[in-house]
Amino acid sequence: MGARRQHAPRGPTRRRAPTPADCVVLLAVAALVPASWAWKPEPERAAVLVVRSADGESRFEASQDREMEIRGPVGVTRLRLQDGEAWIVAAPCANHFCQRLGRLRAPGRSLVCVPNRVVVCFAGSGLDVDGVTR
Amino acid sequence: MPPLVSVQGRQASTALQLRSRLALYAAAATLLWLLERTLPNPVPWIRLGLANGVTLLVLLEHGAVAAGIVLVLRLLLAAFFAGTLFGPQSILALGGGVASWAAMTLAQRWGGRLLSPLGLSVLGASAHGLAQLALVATVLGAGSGAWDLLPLFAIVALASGSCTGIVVDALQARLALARGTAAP
Repeated sequence: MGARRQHAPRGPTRRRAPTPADCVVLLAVAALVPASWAWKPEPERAAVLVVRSADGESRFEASQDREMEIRGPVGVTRLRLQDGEAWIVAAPCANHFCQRLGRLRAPGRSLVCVPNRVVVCFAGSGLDVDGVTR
Repeated sequence: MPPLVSVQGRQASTALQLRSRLALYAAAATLLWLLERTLPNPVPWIRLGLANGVTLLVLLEHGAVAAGIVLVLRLLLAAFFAGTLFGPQSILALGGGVASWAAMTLAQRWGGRLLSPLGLSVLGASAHGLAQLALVATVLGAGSGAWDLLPLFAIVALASGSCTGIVVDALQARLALARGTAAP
């Protein structure tokens, strides 16, 4: 049993913190912080913007910047497509919720103006989940 | 029957005593995990990782298999008491815990005499965070922005791993002292 106890490098011989190797580990993990800030995977850009309105469905190249007017039952919804992002700049409805929906950047979300019956989204498969809770 | 894990010290000279000790370690780790869960945390899944400190202590005192047993017991018990067994949180905890255990075991095996509990703990905490991010990115997809949290996870791993490592270092010193005074 005595021999068994001595073969493993454990026990009081380990108490040397911080060792030079510890410092290397700490520096490596610390270096991960600026490195991961510098390295950002390029977000996948959608290719086609889909606009559905009372007139039907239209598709636009997402790479071509433009501003479009979409006619609906309430009036004209103005949509801007720029740098691969789409957002509603003006809406004829009372609450303007669609203007506050922010910018579309990838498939999976949509901009909706219910009163004017406008739905805008990027073509493609988005996230399979809506959200995550604890 | 040969012992499942290497035994150190006179107090744990039999398999039964070792099992009792591992059960106590698992209970302590579960309690620490549950207590930590009550602390407010701004970002889900980011924790201090005191329970991982127990895994490290068992790894250093009783070997990798014993640490793995304590880890699995702690994960099962903690998830059971928290009501998250088989839920996403327990899957993340399992992934992080196993990655942390594997990283600390390999580091101890290959650089055991070079690294103190501090270095091992920081490595384990980093592996824990990376594994959890990888799991989240796999489940939610590459566009989910999970990897955007990497700097935050690295900072937390550095801080929590250092704290846990210092605690384990001190605990190991106390255990060594107790063994030393018990020895003739």
